[in-house]
Amino acid sequence: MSTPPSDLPPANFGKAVILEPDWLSSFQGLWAMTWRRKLTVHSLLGLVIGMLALPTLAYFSTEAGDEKVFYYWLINFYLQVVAPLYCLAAFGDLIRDEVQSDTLSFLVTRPVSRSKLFLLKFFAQMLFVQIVLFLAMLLFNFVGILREIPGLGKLMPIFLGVQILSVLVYGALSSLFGLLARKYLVLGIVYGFVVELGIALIPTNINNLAMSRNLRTLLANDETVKRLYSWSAGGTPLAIAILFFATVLFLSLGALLFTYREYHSAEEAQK
Amino acid sequence: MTPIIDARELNRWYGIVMGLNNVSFTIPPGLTGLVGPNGAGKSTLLQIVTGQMQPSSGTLTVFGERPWNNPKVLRRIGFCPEKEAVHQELRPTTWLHSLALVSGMTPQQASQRVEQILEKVKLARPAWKEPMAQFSKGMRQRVKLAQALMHDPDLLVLDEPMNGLDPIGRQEMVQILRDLAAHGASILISSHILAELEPICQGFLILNWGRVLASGSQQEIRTDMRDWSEELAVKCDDPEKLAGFLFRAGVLSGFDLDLAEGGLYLRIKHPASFYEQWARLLLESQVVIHEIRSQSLSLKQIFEKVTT
Repeated sequence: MSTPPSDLPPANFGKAVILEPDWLSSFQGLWAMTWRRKLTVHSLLGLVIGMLALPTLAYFSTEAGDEKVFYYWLINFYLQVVAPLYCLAAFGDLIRDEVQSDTLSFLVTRPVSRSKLFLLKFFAQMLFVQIVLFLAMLLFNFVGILREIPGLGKLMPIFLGVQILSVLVYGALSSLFGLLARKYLVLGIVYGFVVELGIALIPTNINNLAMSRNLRTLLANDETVKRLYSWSAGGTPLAIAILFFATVLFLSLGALLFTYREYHSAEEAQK
Repeated sequence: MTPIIDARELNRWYGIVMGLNNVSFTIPPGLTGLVGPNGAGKSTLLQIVTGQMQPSSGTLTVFGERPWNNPKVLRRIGFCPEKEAVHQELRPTTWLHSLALVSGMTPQQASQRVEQILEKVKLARPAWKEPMAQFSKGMRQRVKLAQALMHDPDLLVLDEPMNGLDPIGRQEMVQILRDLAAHGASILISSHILAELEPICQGFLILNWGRVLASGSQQEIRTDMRDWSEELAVKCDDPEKLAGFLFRAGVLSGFDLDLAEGGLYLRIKHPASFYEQWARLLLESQVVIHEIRSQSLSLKQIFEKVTT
């Protein structure tokens, strides 16, 4: 092409600050963007209403000391339905949200590999979701105390551990769904019915493929849960291993997909 | 001079739609304008340059390496997209600080850099702490430019940065770009309005329908296109006779007659050979010539001709 502009000095290729983004500093940046975007007045209001809704319903529908109804709210509804659906919405949106709002280009043009960017964004979202669900769990605990539910003190540490693992594995799976399909909510709900509700009930080892089956095994380490639900705590180490392995697998697939696949808004793709 | 960007037989399809069609070019350091009408393939090309898209076939290297998923190259590129989308909930300081951290700066470095850059892009200080949802298009454009400059890139890639700017904003943007170029940054800037870039860019790449129509300096582009862009206006006593004679001689690609004024507008096929024969042809035509004017086209006129 043309000769360089005569009245301008040639570009100094060595001028740029040579940055070597480490995981921590990049995470700090993505974490700041994640929580600040989510804590706007509008989003915060929705979050608080959402967090208060279930414990409030549990409070009004549970008689004092009625552990069966309270555990139904806490485990059957909150842990096995609401928390996974929240993960599906929050993590499925991880990259899609940036694509739809045309802001992904600001991230993928940073000097960070795409797989690292995906993983850091996942962990920033993970931290936020864990905090939200931790607060929701505390609210449930508070309701349980008000309703004089026995054995809560012993359940809560186990419950917290199970919730953390649950968010990890469902978060990783949801982020993969988000990368795979624009309609990740439909994909996630179909998966939930087929695997988490269907395969989980098959009385052979194949039910280990359902994450809910492994989470139940962990919860069964609490005596009250074991008594109320007749779940077995046998194979707890295997259940933990499966949950971790599944998380790593889903995250690796997500990172691989994001490394090789382009993501553009529909309008962009027509240009 | 080693080129910054080197494209060889570059193709990019969107399904059956072709975004770039067998494009080859090099871009040297400096200020280069990427010009073409909407849908010409400018944004596609810029997205490949900035590692957001991959070519369907062919190669494109920036600083000698492919940009896709290449932090080493991306470290040296700053990109300002065309769309005015920004994280509306965030304040510019928060957003830029976060992006600086993602790019690898320490929190202290990031804070300093944010101040420097916001000053550089001339965003009014009271706006620094306001959520970007309240910003005008021009203010967002400045913040977008600021994020592209955060890590002090060697190559700044700007997709239609003048869009939405008022005349003063445009003037300030031009000044910012000139300052950056004067400090050694190379800039690739796209626009569908050539006049915006003509005063600031020395090199141009003109695209249409996914193809490179011309590339080089303004002078080089005129020379490249001379073969089909040359026009002459002739006043004579018998324009019809002259037009017919020249047309039969096979030197014209077309002509227009203005019988009332005795004018004839000639579109010349091959200017170099035409001018060799011109004097002889005029004598042989036996037409009395009163005036000959060259209709030398400006770059803008050439652009409009080739892109419409």
